[in-house]
Parts: sequence; structure tokens; C-alpha cells
Amino acid sequence: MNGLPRNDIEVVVTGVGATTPLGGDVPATWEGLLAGRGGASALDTEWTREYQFPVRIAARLAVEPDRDLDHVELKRMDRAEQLAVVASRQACRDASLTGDTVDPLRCGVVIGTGIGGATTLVAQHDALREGGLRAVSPQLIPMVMPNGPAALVGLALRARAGVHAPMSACASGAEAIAWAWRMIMAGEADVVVAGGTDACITPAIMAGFTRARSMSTRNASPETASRPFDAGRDGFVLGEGAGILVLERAGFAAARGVKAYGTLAGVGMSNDAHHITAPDPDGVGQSTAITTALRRAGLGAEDIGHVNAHATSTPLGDLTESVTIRRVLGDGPVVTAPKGALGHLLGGSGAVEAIATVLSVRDGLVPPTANLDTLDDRIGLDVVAGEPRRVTLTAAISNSFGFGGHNVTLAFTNG
Amino acid sequence: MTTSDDVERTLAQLIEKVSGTDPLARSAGRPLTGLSLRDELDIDSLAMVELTDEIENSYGLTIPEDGLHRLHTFGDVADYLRAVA
Repeated sequence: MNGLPRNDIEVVVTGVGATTPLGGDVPATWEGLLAGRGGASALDTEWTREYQFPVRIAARLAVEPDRDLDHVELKRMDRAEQLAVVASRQACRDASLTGDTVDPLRCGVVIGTGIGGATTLVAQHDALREGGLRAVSPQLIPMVMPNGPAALVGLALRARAGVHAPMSACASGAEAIAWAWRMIMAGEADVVVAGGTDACITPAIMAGFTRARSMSTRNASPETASRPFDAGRDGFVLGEGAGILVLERAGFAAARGVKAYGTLAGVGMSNDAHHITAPDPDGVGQSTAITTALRRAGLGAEDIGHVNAHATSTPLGDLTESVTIRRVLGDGPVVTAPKGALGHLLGGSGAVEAIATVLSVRDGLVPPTANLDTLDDRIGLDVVAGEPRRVTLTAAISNSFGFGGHNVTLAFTNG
Repeated sequence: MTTSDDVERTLAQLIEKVSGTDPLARSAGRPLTGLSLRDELDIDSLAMVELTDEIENSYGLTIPEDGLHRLHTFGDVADYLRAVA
């Protein structure tokens, strides 16, 4: 095994699962995206009042995980882990993936998280201070470790080909999918369950993003606060959620007769090496991610009919990405920014948005960018607003970028 | 199989609360006392710490740090409780 991708292997998507602010599964989330429905709402809590948070908006889950998990699972898993498990079960059901579908030695899991078990860590620290050592759960470590979501899903699947947890902040979910693609292309696995999760609408994390002045303060109108590419955008809206895809070697999927949503034809990863949080204004790293994904997919710029943008609704980030997309792909692709509806799911976002991209390619339908009323006149792109748009698509990309300079592009085709 | 006394009844409830596995359902007619904590009742080493906490809260006891970790079966724990509670 030399680890180099083999050109005789294709990777297909055979199952999808998600729990997001728009719905408790993929159909409900997709319906919300197509409707351009804002998933954010007012966040009025004891701590937002006590600490006078200037940000009082969040995109919380539409369906609580206690619908799907029993009391022991809820107690032993951090919320980010709970969401990953819920979405994984959906994806595996969708792919007809059961315990004996694949040799455990040929099954892998890659699930990333941007923040991980922060909610549990803070709560348990409070418990320690208030109640002493014996007030701390013995489950604390598996609940806060960033590989926890991947490990729990791997245990359920008995995945022995490798269980990994890439961490690249808000690109983590997309990076997980990229690593899953690499595992299959390298011949290391036939099936890899991959995606991302995060759930940290919690005082410490909200305070950190608030102090960094990253988030929207459009408190009077929470559902319209996340407005990527809009002239009036003023920051992102913190959300929570998870997305999971079942990726398979195409030959394996065909042999067991399961449907494929589409093909993950290529992936590109790069780093800005510019600044710990700000994107490189020249977009060199972002361009590299896109061009690498296209090259590996055997696609040209003219093949990309649609871009599912990372665009988080921050003034600088959206502008930088738009310049990159235009430079690399021209002004032809139909662009959407799902964070207008979803909010920013951090480690979950890249995976949920990958699912949306796969569905767009399959259905030839691009959701509108929620809350895009007035396109920033510096954004020289064809951004869908208002209504979904019918487009004949053969290929599309999904971008995800993260603090730390991480850039990931996933290229999907309907082949 | 039914529990033979209040200790077994309470212990069964606490185990179900901790691990999600109901000893009464698991016993399938066998005596509860022989059920393996780890293999049949899903009480692994972390769950044993949780079970210790639950027993302490229920009985108002303080169990030494290694009090339950040498015990292997439902009956071992029940006997321990009858001795100290």
C-alpha cells in the first residue's frame, strides 16, 4: 500500500443523514433550504442576560436528540456526539448499511469536529467547583475528547479499517469527507462513514466568538441575521448540527445493489499559512483547494455549474471567497450559501453542505441563499436568491474554510 | 424471575438507570445473583463508578474508592449492600 489514490476507483455517496436547525433529518433540512427558511431564533437565556451578551441569536436544533437516543446514550454522550450518532444512524439506514454489510476490516469512520465537547467540559468544571471531585462524571473524558463522535460511530459499526477525527475548525466536516475519499481511493476501505458535528451554543464559546466580533448582532430579527453575500451582512450566526455521509467504493455499492446519490469525484485541501483566523485576502490557498479538487476529479472549470459556498455572512470572508470563485471558475457557476438558512454549524457545516451539494447535483436544483436581499456590489457572482433555481448540473463543488487557514473543496458529479 | 428482596429490587433499578440494561429482563428466568456485571449488565469500569455513586445516593453510604471494583456479579453487589447498608 503506497497510499496514493488509484485511478480505477470511484467513490459514491450511498447514504445521508443530518440533524440541523432546519430539521431532524435530511428531507426536512433540504426542504428548509429550498424554502430559504432562516433557522435562527432569539437566544434569551439566564447567561445572555447576566453577562449582557451583545449577541442574542443562535440556530438551535429543530429536533432534540432525545427523540432518537435513550437515557443512557443521552447521559454518556456530549451533545456533539449525540448529533453525530443520530445522523450516522440515519445515513446507515439510508444506505442499507447493517452490521454484516461490510467486513469490519474494510469499514472506516471519519468524523470531524471544530469545538467538540466544550459544553460538557464547562458544565463538568462547574460541577467540580460546586460539588467536588465526586460530582464529576467518570464519562467526562470520552465525552470531551474530540475523537469521541468518530469513536462512538466506529464502535456501533465495528469499523476496524480506521477511525479518524480530523480537526480543522469550520472545515472539519468537509475534511473528514476528504479523508474518507482518500481512504477508499487508497484501497484501505470499501465503506467509510464520514462527516462532521458540533453543538456548542454555550456561554464560553459564545463569549469567545463575541469577543472576536465574529457574530451578527442583528438581535431584532434573528431569522434574517445570517445573510451571506448581502450588503448588510454583519457576521455569522452560531448554529449546531451534524451531517453524515456513507461513502463507498462504487464497485462495492453496485455489487450490493444500493442506489447512489452521486459521485465524490475529487477533493482538494490546502492551507493559507497566512493568519490564525483571517483568510488570505489573495485567496491563494482557497484557489489551490478548488483547483486540486477539479484536477483529481478530471474536471475543468467550465464543468462546474454550481458552487455551494462556505460564505458565513462575515464581511471579509464572503468577499474573499467570491473573489476566489470568480478568479478560478469565472462567473458562470450558480452559487448558493446555505448558512443563510442553517447558520454556522462549525464542524457540522461542511458535511451538511456536502449533502446539499449532492442533492443539488442529483435534482438539478439549487436552493436560494436565505436572507440575500441586496447583493453586495463587490460580489461578482450569480448568487441564487428568493427562489430555488433549476439548473442542469453535471458537477458542483462545496467549499469549506476554517480558522487556522484550512481550505477544503469537495467536487461532486452525477455520474 | 423476581427479585428476592428490597436490596435486589433497588439494585436492579439502579443498574438499569446506569447502563440501560434491565437485570430482570436480562435474567430470563435465571437467578439474578449469577448475572455478570460486565458481560451481561453492561457495567464496565466507568459504569461501575456511576453505579457506586447511585448506590451511595440511594443508601446514604460512602463506599471506599475500590469498594465495588472487585465484585463481578449482581449477587456480589447485593451481598455487599446487605453487609454494609
